[in-house]
This record gives sequence, structure tokens and C-alpha cells, in this order.
Amino acid sequence: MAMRCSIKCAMALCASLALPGIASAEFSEFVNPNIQEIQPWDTVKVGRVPDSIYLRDIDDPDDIIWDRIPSYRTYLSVAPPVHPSTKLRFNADQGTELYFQIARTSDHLLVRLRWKDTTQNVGTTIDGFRDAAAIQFALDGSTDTSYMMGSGPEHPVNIWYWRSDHEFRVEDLAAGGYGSTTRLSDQSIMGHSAYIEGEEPVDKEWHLVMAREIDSDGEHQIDLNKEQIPFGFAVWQGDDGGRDGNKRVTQGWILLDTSIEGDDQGDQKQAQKQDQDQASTQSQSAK
Amino acid sequence: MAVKRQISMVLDLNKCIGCQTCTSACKLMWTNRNGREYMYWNNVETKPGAGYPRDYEKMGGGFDKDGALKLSKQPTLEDYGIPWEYNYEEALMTGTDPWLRPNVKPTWGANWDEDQGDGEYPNSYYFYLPRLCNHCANPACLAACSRNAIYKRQEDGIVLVDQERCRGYRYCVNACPYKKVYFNEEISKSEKCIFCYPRIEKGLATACARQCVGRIRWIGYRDDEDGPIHTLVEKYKVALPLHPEWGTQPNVFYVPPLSSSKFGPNGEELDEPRIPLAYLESLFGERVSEVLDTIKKERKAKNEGRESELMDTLIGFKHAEMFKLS
Repeated sequence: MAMRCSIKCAMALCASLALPGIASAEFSEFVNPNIQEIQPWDTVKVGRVPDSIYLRDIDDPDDIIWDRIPSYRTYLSVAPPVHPSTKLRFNADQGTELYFQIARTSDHLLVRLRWKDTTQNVGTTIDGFRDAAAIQFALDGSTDTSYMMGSGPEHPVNIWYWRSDHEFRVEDLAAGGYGSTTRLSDQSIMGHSAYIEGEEPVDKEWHLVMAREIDSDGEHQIDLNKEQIPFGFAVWQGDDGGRDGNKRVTQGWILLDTSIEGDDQGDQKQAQKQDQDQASTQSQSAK
Repeated sequence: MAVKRQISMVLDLNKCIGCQTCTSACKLMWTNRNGREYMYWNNVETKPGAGYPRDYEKMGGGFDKDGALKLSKQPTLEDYGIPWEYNYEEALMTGTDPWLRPNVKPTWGANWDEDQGDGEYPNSYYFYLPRLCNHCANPACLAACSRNAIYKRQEDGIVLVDQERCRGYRYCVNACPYKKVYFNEEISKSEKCIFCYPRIEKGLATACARQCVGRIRWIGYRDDEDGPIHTLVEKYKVALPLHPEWGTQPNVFYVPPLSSSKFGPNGEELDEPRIPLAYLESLFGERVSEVLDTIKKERKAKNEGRESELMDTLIGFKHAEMFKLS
């Protein structure tokens, strides 16, 4: 009890000392020991959603299952300008923290993102820009592919691009270098988002889940059965006129280890135990 | 940007009567539907005046002296004018509404300040300035597009937005200092004057030029020495680009307007034009005075019964001579 009180007091102190705005909210998350900080070139392991757990929707951004999946935090910094138009609008001070979770069911890969945003921009209008977020994957599974949207048509990336101006709209894109983003003919990404208002401006944040079936054809659809997949994130802040290269990104690749312990070795017991553990936790929390 | 040929337009501001027939022709053909309702690819504004979109001349864009793109204000829908419709059915047909009125409360629109002009009576003045995309030799919209979605056609230099490549970033809207690229919210892509290229390809003049009742517009290729553009721009040098200092090298040119004399305090005519030379120079550059002198000289010649190729061209006797599209 004393320990819990001291953490609460420390958080309250932090909140009162921190600068107003996004920074203080992120600082309070910083003390959460369950969120591991991830740097580019680190590896994260895919979480597992056992088939025995019922999901109302595969892409519900606030399903209780996400409380049982490992959560990570990574810093997105402003993308280096590669065109005069992005250079004109470059502001190096606009980095942001992104919280992410990656999990798989037996047939879907799920990516959940959360980030602080005090302004909800859901319109694409004459002078208004939308909030957006994306995850990109190196299609060849190699970190030699440029994390700046791929290295030409031979080493492209697959991008799942969520845009806040259309509910459930996640574009399935490919690119082989900046300026080459192309919408794929086969649109196979599901998505669902929620804007959390909270009581204070600093509590406002986007929750987003993007999902795709593990098995998917198409030259530019990421093969989610690969053991290791380099990936990175981008977030566009509509309120700052974010679009195109005016974004905050992972400056490098993070590596996704897709193996589930027990699956590859045929050791089903371990997987079953994990299933049972998680089912038990879920049922306890439901009570 | 080098192209094989460059199509071009000259507009004689001495002949424009501000009737908006060009505006209507363009709107009916291209912009009265599908998210383009607020757009006027061709508009006629009163100068001096705020223009369309409002105060576009103060927004920025174009290039600086070193050739670098300049940031601009992103115009708002209010700057263009929120398009409105009338309740014709209710007011005029069914009689269920006693008033004919717009469905939004209009506060601004293209041509809102029509005929206001400037100056104090009896020396007040204004003139009309029809505007369309300049299909520039150095288009700021093209330079600003990070996706290479904007291109200039080799065969005629018409600047177009590739609707397949455009992803609606609106850098082009920002970069064009003339604000002649527009964002279509319905399709999340940018659109602009296409110089009626389907008509041009058939040897026909643009809708705005063909419909012009004042016959103020000439169309032809810059390199055609037998065509009207060469006569007006190169031979007599009486057609000038709008705001050349913005660095985009327009291919639409204007013959600046002469004006009657200013009146002195006792009603006497002064040797000074009603439209201040400095104002015209702020629009069309430092050659305005020289151009006005040439027109005055040629007018005098025609008045006196002498030959004037320039005046014969500017009168525009035949459409076939005004539009030389081969």
C-alpha cells in the first residue's frame, strides 16, 4: 500500500511539475514499468491472442485483450525533409511518443497504436488536414531496405495507412522510395479507431487497431509468416498541417519476431499453457 | 521548363466589359458539380480589389529571387466564398417560402467587391482583370508537388494535375501565387484549369475565349511567328504577364488598360491617367508605360486613317485570326 501511495504521489508530483501539454502526459506514462521503451533496431516479439479468447471485433481499439498484450513505447521524430515542400514546413521540435502493441491470433496480425493528440482533426478540407498514422514493413524482410519508404521498386515497403477522415479506412499502400506511394489494387487491411477525450487536454489520445489476415497474396502485401519483419511507424498531426513527409517517424527499423514459443518446435504444451494462463487472467478480470 | 511548343493567351484589358461570360462558360463546362462548386478556374475580378480568393496577392507562394519556393497562406473556403444555392422551388414554384433566398448566409464570394475600385470621385477608377491558370513556364505548383503529380505537356505546355498520382497534399494550392489550383474535398485531390485541352486538341479555342463577347482573348503558340501571340507579345511587346516578380513565367499575358485623364480641382483635365501608373506597374511590371505609349501611338495612327497592324490585331475582326491553333 505504501509503495502504491508513493507511486501515486510521485506521479502527482510529476504532473504538477511537468510542463503543460503533451509532455506531462507522456511523462506520467514514462513511470509505467510495464511499458518497455523500444529504440530503432530493437526486436519486439509478437504477442499472442489465443483462439480460446472471444474477440467481439478483430480490430476493436479498446478490447480488454489489449491489457494482456505487452505494450511498447517508441519515440517518433520529425522525418528529414526530402523535398522543398517538406523542407519549407520542417519543424524539428515536433517529435512524439507512440505506444504500440503487436499481437496475432491464429489467422490475423493486429497492430494497436496509441498516441497523445490534444486536437482531433478528422477532416480533409480546403485548409484542414487530417490526423493519420501508418506502419510500414520492409517487403523483403531485410533491414537493407531504406526505412525512408523503401529503396526503389526492387526493395519496396508495404504501408498500412490509417486516415481519420473516413471511419474504418485503412489504405493498403506500397512504395519504393519517397514520392512513389501507390494504392494497391487489393485493399485487405481492417481498422478501427477511437479518439479518447479524457478530462484534461493531455488525456486526449488516439487509439487505433489495424489488422490483416496472416495469409495474404499479392506481391506488395507483407508476408506475415516471415520470422523477422522490419517495421516502422509514422504519425501525422493534422493540426500542424501534417501530410506527406510532414510527419513523425521511426528513424530506423524495429524488428518484429513473429515466432510464438512452442509453435515451431511442435511443443504444443507451452502454447497451450500460455493459452490457459491468458484465458484464466481474462476470466479473472471479467469477474 | 522546356517544352516543344507552348500555347499561350493574350487578354486585352481595354476591351473587357466584366460581363462574366467567360466565367460562366468555364463553370458550365467544368466546375458546376462534383465538389468543384466553389472553384472558378476562370474568374473576372475588379481591380483594385481583393480578388479571388480574397487577398490572394498578399498570401505568398511563387519563388524568391534565388528561385526557391516561398510559403503561402493556405486559403480557406471563406476566402474563396462559400457557394450557395437559392430556394427556387419553394419560392417560385410551390410558394411555400415567401422569400427567395440563399441557403447559406453569404459573407464573401468571387466578385464580391465588383466595381468598387479605388479613388475619390471624380477620379475614381477600376478595371476588370480576367484570370485563369497561367500555364507557367516555371510552374510553382509543379515544383511544389512532392509526388510529380503535376506535369507540363510537351506538345503545348498545358499544366495538368495527374489525378491518378495526386494524393491531395495541397502543396500546389499553397505554392501557386495566383491561387489557380483548387482542392476538391469530395475526391481529396487538387484540380485546376486544363486550358480546355480536349477542345485545343480538336483545334478549338478554350471555352472562355470562344465565348468572350468583348473579343478580348487571343490564343496561339508562342513560336508561331504568323500567329497573334507573337504579334502581341514579341513583335509589338504590348502584352505583359501578371506579377512577373513571382517568378513563375506565365504564358497568359495582358494588354494593360489605358484610362481617361484625371480631373483637377477645378474640373480641368490633367495630363495624368485615372488609373495610376504605379498601380499598373505593381501588377504588370516596369514596362507598362512603354506599352501604353505604343498603344496610344498605334491608336492615333488608326484614327488618322493610317495602317496599324497592332490595332487591326487588337480589334479582333475574325475568330480565325484570333485563335491560331495549328
